Amino acid sequence: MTAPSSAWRVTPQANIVLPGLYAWVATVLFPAFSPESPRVARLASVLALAALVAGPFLATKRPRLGRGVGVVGFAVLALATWAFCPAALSIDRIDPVQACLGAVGWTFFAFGWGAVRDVGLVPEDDPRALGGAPLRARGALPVGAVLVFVVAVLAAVAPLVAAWRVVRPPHAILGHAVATLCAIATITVGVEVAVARTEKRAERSPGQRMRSAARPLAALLVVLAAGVIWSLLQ
Amino acid sequence: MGRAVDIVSILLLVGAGVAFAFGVFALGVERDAQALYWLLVGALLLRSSVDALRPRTGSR
Repeated sequence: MTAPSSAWRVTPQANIVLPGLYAWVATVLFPAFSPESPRVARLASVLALAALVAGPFLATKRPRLGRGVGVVGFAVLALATWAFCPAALSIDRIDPVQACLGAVGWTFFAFGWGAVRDVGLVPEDDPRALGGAPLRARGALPVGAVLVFVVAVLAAVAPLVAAWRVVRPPHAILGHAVATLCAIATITVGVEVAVARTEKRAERSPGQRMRSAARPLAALLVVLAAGVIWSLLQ
Repeated sequence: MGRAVDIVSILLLVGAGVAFAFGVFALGVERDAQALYWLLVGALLLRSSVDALRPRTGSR
């Protein structure tokens, strides 16, 4: 087996640096080097770039320090850059396409710092791997779990779509934040609804199950009644 | 009958998504009080949906 080439050896670092570099160019470089930005913003942006490049290489020898420099250092220095040049980041000056592409770059930067199994590595070859037959799952998903999950995802998409109808700028940001929270809550509950219908839980009688939800259902009825009265009075 | 409760639970979940969408939509048409109302309804629907499934423990 031949030794890997030097280009192959730096692939893990490139996976982090390249998307990070893209995110830096799209979201940090332009505001930092706009004409009205102060020198301190430019200095912070250059230091952010240095942290971005140095972090992955430091991480090969000292993982904790490398992650601290490459993730926390880079993010903090990018934030400092933005803090020093607020005028360049005003809503009316941000290019939406560039901002979206920058967000994608930051996403891939985050994924780049994740660890994945090396190409060609077989986990069972590890000397610490346990032998014997594969362990079997002790439970199975209830019938229709995937369907319930799909329904939950569709229900979660509804507020996210509605958020794009909010046109007042401050409320638009709030709308997207609220919609994201609602979507997360809906999917979280949807997953629980999808997998919780196991045999053991089904042993509870339907009456017991509905009594478990009596309090929120009662509160819901009160709120709905109040809503009807409110709409009648207006 | 147990399956009926499952269906009710799923319908409550769907209702929560719709209520949340109404809430965010109301925010878009400058009806802030209505938005808060629908978000509250959505939260109660979600809570009802999951409570109909959770086992009732002694502490609850």
